[in-house]
Amino acid sequence: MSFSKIFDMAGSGMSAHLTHLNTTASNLANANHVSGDERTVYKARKPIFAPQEQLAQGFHVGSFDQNKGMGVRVVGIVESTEPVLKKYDPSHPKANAEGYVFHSNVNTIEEMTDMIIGSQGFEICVEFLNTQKDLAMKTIESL
Amino acid sequence: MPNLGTLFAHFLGMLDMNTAFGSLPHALKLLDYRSTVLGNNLVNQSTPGFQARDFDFETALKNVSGLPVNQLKADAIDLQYRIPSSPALDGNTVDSAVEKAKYAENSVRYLAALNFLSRKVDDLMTAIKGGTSA
Repeated sequence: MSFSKIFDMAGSGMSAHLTHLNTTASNLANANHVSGDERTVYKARKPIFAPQEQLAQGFHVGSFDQNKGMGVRVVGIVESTEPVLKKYDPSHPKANAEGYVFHSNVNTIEEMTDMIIGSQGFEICVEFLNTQKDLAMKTIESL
Repeated sequence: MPNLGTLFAHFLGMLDMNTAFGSLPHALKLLDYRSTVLGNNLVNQSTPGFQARDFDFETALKNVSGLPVNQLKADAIDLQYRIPSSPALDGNTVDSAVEKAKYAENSVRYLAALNFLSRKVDDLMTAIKGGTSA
């Protein structure tokens, strides 16, 4: 039986979706960040998900117990390359020499949908984990 | 007069553990494996480019029946890609509603197989211990 592997898999999903939620929270918290420099203004951060392993090769060969590498992992967090908003506002305390300020490129509506996707993904992983745990307990009890 | 030990040994010889439970152990192992495959789909529901997979349980069970359980190989299983009803723009083909339904169905099958198996074990215990003694 490969119960521990299944738990690892659900755990990897929960952790990945938690990273997703964390970056979303960070983006929303910094949505109104303003800076006098285009390079230092906060840019939206996005996690990049990838399957734990491309299973197309190692999946068919070997025994059932060798199906390691299931699940998902976060391969990195990248900053969005969307253009930042440049505003002419010479009275702003952070305005640069030409009188411009730069607003972060966080799109709050996009972040809200990302948050829903992240929390749903997390929920599904928890449900999966619970069902699998119940099945494991029933199997143990019936021994 | 044959002694009890010889009788017992004779009985154990008749009882082939690889066939005593029919195809239930195979079914359990395959269902356990399928829950891994379906769970992997669920976990990867927002992974770009991930393609959902599944296999046909009935066909797989036919392919492995007769093999000793501990020699089951994953290559007996024809793992296929799910045909998506509406693939996402990022190439992901997981439809979480479909996968959840398949996963629920698989869990019920697993529980059923587990129940049948534990009843078979009870039957054998009754046969060994003999009758209605508490």
